Amino acid sequence: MHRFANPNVFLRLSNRIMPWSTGVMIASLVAGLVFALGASPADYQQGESVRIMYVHVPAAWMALFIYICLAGASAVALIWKHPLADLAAKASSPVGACFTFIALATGALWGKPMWGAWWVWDARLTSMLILFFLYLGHMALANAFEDSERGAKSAAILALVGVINIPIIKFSVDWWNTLHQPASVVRMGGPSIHPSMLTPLLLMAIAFTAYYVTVVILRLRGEILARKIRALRMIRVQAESKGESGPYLREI
Amino acid sequence: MPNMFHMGEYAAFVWPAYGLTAIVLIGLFIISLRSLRQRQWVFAELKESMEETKTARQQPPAANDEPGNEWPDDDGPNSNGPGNSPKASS
Repeated sequence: MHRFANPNVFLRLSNRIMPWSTGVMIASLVAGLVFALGASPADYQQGESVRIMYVHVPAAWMALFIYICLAGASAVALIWKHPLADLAAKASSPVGACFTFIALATGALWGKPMWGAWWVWDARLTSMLILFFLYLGHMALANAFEDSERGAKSAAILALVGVINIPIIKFSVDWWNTLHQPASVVRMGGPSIHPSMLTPLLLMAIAFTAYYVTVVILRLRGEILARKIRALRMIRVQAESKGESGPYLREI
Repeated sequence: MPNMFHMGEYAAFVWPAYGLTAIVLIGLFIISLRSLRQRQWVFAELKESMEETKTARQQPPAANDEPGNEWPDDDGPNSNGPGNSPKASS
């Protein structure tokens, strides 16, 4: 695993992955949207409003999936001091926050016509809101310290403590009486949803996953560069302080 | 596909859901790309300026007479008084 700790190995790998992730994202997004907005049938009860599901559900899956990735990266960073792991965590949390926001906002837009309310303090919705705050907290903490390593460590601990929220979100619909419907895709005994609706759902999930990979690579490259810039500035400051004292100037 | 783009009575909920998703995802993509481009630019500039300084120092052997000329931008905030400036001390 430490082979990938070398930023240059990562950069070479990311150069190879990027065109594929972008291609998969565009192809599955186009196909997914065609199915989601047209080729799939309207629901017999919910009518056309069911089409909100094709962005709402994949976004909620991504919110959970990215948090698991974030916690995994944080654990690797804390245990093995992998130099890219905390950068990967820092690059992931804004993407996760965006998907959580999308899940919450599209859920409200779906809830209003179906439940008659934009928001209810239901176990599933509340635990998703907590997930959103966990992401925001992670982003704030990772950038809160002058010393980026301390920030990364605090953010990693927050990410690991927050993992407890993931099973709560997943099983909230079974553990408590909620307005939110129970799982119909990822469940024991296979999906209970018709293939005509499952197809756009899975296509959009693939598109969102490819989007995550693409954006996280972009952000990770940015974080690596930021670290290099910081290192160069340190060298410059050191050179400057040596320069002031005179005799060491020519060593640089 | 007769019902494509026809959302009936739910158009006011379906389209904002898709529009919001598009805005958030495209926005994050643009922000990420911009920040990467900006950092690439800063990195290139910094590297170039440091290379220049390095070669400028290596060429004239007596260049360390006036260290203040090497880092003109950074001397100001670091000097606490007139006596601390490299020019004044040289």
